[in-house]
Amino acid sequence: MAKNVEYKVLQGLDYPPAKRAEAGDVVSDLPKDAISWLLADGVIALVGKTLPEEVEPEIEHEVEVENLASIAEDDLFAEEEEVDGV
Amino acid sequence: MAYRHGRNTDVLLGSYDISAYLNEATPSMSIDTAETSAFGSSAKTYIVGQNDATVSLGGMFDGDATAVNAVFEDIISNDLTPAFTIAYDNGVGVGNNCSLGTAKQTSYEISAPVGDVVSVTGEFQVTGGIRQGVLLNDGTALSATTNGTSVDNSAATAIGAVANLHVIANSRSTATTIKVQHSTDNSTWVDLITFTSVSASTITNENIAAGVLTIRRYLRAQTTLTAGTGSITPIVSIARRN
Repeated sequence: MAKNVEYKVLQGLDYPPAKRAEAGDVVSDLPKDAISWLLADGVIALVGKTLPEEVEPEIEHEVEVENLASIAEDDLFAEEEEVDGV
Repeated sequence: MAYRHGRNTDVLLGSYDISAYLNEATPSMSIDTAETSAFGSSAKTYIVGQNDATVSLGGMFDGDATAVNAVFEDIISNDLTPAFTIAYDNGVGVGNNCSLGTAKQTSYEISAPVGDVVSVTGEFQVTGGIRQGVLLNDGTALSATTNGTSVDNSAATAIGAVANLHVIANSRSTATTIKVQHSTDNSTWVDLITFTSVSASTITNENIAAGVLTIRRYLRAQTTLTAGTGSITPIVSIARRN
């Protein structure tokens, strides 16, 4: 399960339910609807986020390797055909 | 919008509500013009320059220590530049319209006619411009931390803001923090203007411009008390133009 996005507070703010964050605080429970305007006004800044655990990068790499190999072979044959044509 | 009767007007000058002594308050705005008519022009043309403003206050003389005579005399004698708020729209109340700014007093006149009440007149030169705004407090004495009622402007604005704080009574035993906050959704509130911390048992006034140009749709005053006793009466006015 993904963790909430964390934001650094640059300007003091109050948010529901009856919470207060001062400049310098890092919070992850801001109301979702408020985040866009708080970012636009420079009231908060994105700190970072944790990716979901379901992501398995190894599978993506294998797919990329196969594609690259295929492309390389095609390119090689194409070059040979051009040479023959000349 | 209904018409307003002048009898409900409140006048805050510096750290005092002097409404009880006055019967006339006239904020006046003007703007310089420079003529641009050239040969052959059949009608004069102009461009505008800087705006200017004055305030005229008049009423009845009262010589008590915190009454109108002492307030006017203190300002003109000590070259003070107090914040002023003239609440002509049904007096001090959340969301009521007002004129606000800071001013130098240029004259103080006391008139004592043989057949009438002794009267006072004070003329003020506004410095930094006069603004039309709204009030964020209703003049209630506060003895607990309070988020004021919000004022809805229907939309955000983008030309800054300037606010006045008048603390007209204070018996708190500890310091008080007063802020103006703004919001897009009337739920999450961001500090917009933080006035200088008000010391225990101190009345004060201050005029501060917002540090940003974008002012969100909703405004409110927040009064934060620290542990202690007593009450404080803050009145905040704000204009959506710096």
